[in-house]
Amino acid sequence: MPITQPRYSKEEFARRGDAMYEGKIRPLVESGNEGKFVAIDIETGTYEIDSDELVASDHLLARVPDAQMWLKRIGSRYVRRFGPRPQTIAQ
Amino acid sequence: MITGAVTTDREAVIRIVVRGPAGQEQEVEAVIDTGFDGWFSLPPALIALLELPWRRRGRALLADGNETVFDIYDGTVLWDGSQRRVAVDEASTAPLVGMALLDGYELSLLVRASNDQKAALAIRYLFRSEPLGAGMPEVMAY
Repeated sequence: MPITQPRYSKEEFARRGDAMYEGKIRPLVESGNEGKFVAIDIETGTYEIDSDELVASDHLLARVPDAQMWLKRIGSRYVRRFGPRPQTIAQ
Repeated sequence: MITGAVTTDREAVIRIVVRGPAGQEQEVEAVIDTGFDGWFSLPPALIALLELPWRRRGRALLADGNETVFDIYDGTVLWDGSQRRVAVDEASTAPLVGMALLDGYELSLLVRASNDQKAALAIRYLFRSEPLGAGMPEVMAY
């Protein structure tokens, strides 16, 4: 199987992925799934949810082997935090 | 148990072996970063060297309050004597070990000014029968 490479810019990934999530996926999945990961193929809109990021990713790849995958975390703008959280430091 | 050191720059480091899909292998020095909530990160050159397969992208919050879109690859690390599949985040910094990889483990650090770095860092698996935080001072148990 050829190794999939990203076919869109990072900006395009974020734009398409967020639009799909906000428009079609979030209303269906948000309730009761706080903190779970959603893996979305930005070309077909196919998605998978799991509390384990690797499982969500594997399930989506099983359905769409060439997925252009955007990862979301339900209830958060971010899927990762690199370094301390600056906003939480007391002023 | 995994052992490491606290360097004279006051960084907590371990040596860790990373494997690519075709058996490529690289031992790297990785910094333990409790502010990083992922598993593991590598700079782009090492990801290319190991030929890790690209998997997905997501948005991350950076320490300076900015955000970025980053790439996530599939990799394997040798962790506490076993192979462990991990999400490898691309980050242009020293390799980082994050809190997700430390899940279920107890991290002990001995930080001091001298150059004696022997066993200054230990990462120990907590068996399920062991009460969480056993041996830790009460003040830590929040």
